[in-house]
Amino acid sequence: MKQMTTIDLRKSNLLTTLPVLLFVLLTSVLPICFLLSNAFSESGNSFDQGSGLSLENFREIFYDSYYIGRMLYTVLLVFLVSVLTLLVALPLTIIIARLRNFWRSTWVVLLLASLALSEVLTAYAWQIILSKSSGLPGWLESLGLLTDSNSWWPGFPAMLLVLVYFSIPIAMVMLLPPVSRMDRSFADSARMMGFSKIEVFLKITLPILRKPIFQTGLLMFLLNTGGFVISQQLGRPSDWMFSVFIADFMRSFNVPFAVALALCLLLTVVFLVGVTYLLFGRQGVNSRAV
Amino acid sequence: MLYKLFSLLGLGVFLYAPIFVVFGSSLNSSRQMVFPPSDPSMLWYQAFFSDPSWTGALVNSVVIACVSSILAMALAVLVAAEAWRRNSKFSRFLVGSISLPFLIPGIVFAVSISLVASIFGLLGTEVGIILGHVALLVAIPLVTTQLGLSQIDTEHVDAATLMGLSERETLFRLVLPIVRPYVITGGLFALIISMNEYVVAFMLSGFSVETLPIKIYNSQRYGFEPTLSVGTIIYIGFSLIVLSYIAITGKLWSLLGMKHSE
Repeated sequence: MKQMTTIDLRKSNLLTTLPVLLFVLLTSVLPICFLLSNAFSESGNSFDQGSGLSLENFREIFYDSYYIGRMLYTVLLVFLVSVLTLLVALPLTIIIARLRNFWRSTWVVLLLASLALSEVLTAYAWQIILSKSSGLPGWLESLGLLTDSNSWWPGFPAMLLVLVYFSIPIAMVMLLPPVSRMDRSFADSARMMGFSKIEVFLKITLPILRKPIFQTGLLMFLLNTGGFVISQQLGRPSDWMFSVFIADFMRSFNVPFAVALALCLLLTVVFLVGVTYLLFGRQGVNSRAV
Repeated sequence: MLYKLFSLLGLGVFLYAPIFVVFGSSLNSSRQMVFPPSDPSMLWYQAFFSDPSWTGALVNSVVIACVSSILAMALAVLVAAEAWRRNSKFSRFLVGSISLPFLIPGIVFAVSISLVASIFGLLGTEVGIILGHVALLVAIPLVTTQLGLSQIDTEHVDAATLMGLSERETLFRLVLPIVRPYVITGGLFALIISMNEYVVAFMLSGFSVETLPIKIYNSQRYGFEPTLSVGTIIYIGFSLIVLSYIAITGKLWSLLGMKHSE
């Protein structure tokens, strides 16, 4: 890393670091402390700091396998969303990265602009598209391609589709820089040596890009475990992700229970990301930056 | 070649169909949400701007987004400058810990920051939401500012010092001009995300402050209405303007780490 050595570094910069430290205390340290203290307090019905140390919330969470099942379901769902997103995003990103400047620029702006559609707006827009009165089912019926159609939401397929829709532009924007910087000489020489396009993709392009692919997948995972709007708006209650329950208990002011659920989600994510990183991350990190 | 064309066309349609449909439905003249719109008119745009609950939510969003992104930029510059000048363990710790809210699942941060806000009496205030958004979004201008600082050639700094420029002069005449576009771009991204952010804003709103995403989400529960689409279109238009500005100022490419030959 480039260092500015000539400017006097010894001057202790309390004036700049103090506000930053206070801010970190307020927004990173305190939240984690309160998360722990509330999760282990007795169930109350307000934002009052719960009294006493109690495992009541966790006893309730682990009373039967319901929440464990929901957690497992959420992890698998989010994993599926991440994989599907990468499957769609990676080939398209490679195509876009090889376009001429003007078209590539146009696509970057198009992708970034569609990123501006937040969870709430995305869910709303797809509810319109998938509804019978003003969306696809109705149009297809009027064309005679469908009979007796209903709205296509709420349901698992609708929820999955919109979660992937929401993730694709983000994944593409993350993948585009490494893909466009990728050294194409390996792929080109392999092509000249007679390998097929698919072989080149599987044996050269994918291994070269494994680090950005891994990082993008990880971000998709984190992003989707943290959101609840799409799942709640487009899925049935049986399709809801873990975060929907947290939001619902917060809404109904059962704060300590919601906080205990949030802590479970955080610990699960930290555990999974940690394990994934230990298993696969090291190779990626050690690989030569391309 | 043809399959590439079709897959890109498919992507374009897939990404923009919802925006297109929302735009169409905002032009309906009746309360019914039909697409294509029947008897297109700007009626619901008038309705949006003459309804104080919608304009109030829009103003809240704009105020919160502007203040949050300015504060996020200021904090990001402080932290990035510190990390750049010292590159010590402590400064790396600052960078890591200030980015933490961005890295943990959104709902977990939203819940935990609302606990902090309730202790300080900030729940249900705009200040509370601003605090949450600054904490969530400071990571974005931080990354772009660090990228900007890494573009500065140490030799130029040495030269400036040799020529007798003071630290302050070096800062204002060499460092700032190079870094400024990166800081501003990061701030603009933060602005867009803050305008659109729902989860943290909702948890901190305490049912008493409404931003536009909260208002849209709440209204959705009582059924569709074209004003919802109007709100959505205003948002997308706003984001497009900001993004085009970023693209025109030309830093988009280096921010994305891409070479852009003219």
